Amino acid sequence: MESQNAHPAAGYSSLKMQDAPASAVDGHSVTKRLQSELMQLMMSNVPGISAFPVSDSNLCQWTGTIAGPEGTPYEGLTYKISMTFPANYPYRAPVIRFVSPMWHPNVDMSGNICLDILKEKWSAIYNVQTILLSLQSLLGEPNNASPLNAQAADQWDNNKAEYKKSLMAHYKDIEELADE
Amino acid sequence: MDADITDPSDWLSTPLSSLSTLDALLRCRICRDLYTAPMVTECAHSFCSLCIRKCIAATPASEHPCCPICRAAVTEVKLRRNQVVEEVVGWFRAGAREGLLSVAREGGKGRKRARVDDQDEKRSEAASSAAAEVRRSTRARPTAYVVSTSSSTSLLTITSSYQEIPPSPEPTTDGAYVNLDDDDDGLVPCPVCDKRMTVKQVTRHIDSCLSLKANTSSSSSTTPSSSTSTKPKTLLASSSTTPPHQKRLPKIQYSMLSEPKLRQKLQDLKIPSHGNKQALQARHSEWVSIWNANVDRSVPRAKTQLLRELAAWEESLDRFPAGSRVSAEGLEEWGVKHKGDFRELIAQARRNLPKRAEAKAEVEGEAELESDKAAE
Repeated sequence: MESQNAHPAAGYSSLKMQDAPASAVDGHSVTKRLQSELMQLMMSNVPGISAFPVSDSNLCQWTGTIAGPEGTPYEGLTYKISMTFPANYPYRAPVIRFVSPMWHPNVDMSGNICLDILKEKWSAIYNVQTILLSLQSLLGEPNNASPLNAQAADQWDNNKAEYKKSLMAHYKDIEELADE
Repeated sequence: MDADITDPSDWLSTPLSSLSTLDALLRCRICRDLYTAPMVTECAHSFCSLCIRKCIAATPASEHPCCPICRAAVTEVKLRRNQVVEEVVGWFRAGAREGLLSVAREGGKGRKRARVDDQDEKRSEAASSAAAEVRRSTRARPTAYVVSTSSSTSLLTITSSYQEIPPSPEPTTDGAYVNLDDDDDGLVPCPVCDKRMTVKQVTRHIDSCLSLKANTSSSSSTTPSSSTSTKPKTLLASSSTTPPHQKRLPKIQYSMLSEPKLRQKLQDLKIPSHGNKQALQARHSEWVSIWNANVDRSVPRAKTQLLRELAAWEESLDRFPAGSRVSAEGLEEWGVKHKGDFRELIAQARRNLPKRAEAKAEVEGEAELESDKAAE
């Protein structure tokens, strides 16, 4: 704790930080916004998606789950994702990755996702809930124009049975993941 | 739950659930909090001044800043204050929300009482400790009364009606006024004379303060007048007479400045000037956003307050290192402080979950806590 506080205090010696209530300094902060998002997620309870901070003490690292949408090859499967929020969130997008092995045209084998709203089309009004819903719909509607996984894109277009087979070969149940 | 974090869903469990919509409409889509110095864009969307300014500042130089909602181009100098919204939010935040909510919760409780078990009640009571006093004193009020009260347009009407109810010994909603502003002492400076006072006082005080300044022979004193009808007038007056020290700061083309020159700029502004050029640039940009957003407030805050905000921002950079893998260390303290909130959230979520999903969430929630304990 000590060492971590050493640097930023340097230029602000005239300010008595400890005197300020949390509300004064926490104004528009990342933590406050994430707290609010957590609350919204809990209260709205949208089926098929969930997200929670990895631990009480680390609000910038979340883990989430997405249920495969009905009527898609992912129906009945649940995928785990990780979300890392930058200091300037929500002005910058969080880094989202599939933790579960994912077979999808726009997801590579390391779980990296190619989705415009997580990159250049990011907007400060997007939030965890909108991201999760976008990812969920991406599962059923891949963008095959710019695939990260060319083989998956090809199977999706030409051989759905093969696609489902590859998908199941890579799939790992969320319980199994937790054991690793 | 944390008294700091309010949410439109607070209304959903009360008979006044439709107020959830109003509550949501009075919130900035970026920070999700009630508007602070709302600004309207060219495309007619509103955001907190600081939120939209930081949003514009975060846009890469190669791109034109756009509205977070509709992606229409926005220009910082074309932002205009959204005064009606500011006044409505001011009223809402200044106690109307809390007052209505406590009345609404009381109404809901009367209905649900028979079904609610003791433990549940205790928990929700602790969650809204601020409103507890009011609720206790007005417990017996029927719902019908609540609805008729909520239609009144001013909080003063509501508080005075409180006093007329026989079983209510004292109107405790007054307490809500005092700690409204986020200043450390709960006081705000008068934008004209810098004298510190409560928000309630300042809105009344400005009028007399201004007339005193404009006409030195004026006989009016600085004591708050008892008339409430002056409120809209005072807001108008304060916006049209911005003090000279509340001038907006210009943007800087950082690529045109050398590191020593930029450092000098920060020194001239009397803000910390340590670090490399990248740090200086980020700090300067943040300061310009904070400063200019403060100018947009009808009741601007003192510079020390702004410096504190800047320091908090700098600290948060350390806690949330951008791009890199994040360590839990920096947030430990925060986590310990808010541990109760998380537990409360989990409890709330469980109560709200439909039976079907309940079992699953419980397993997940517990696993989360377990792994956390293990980590500690």
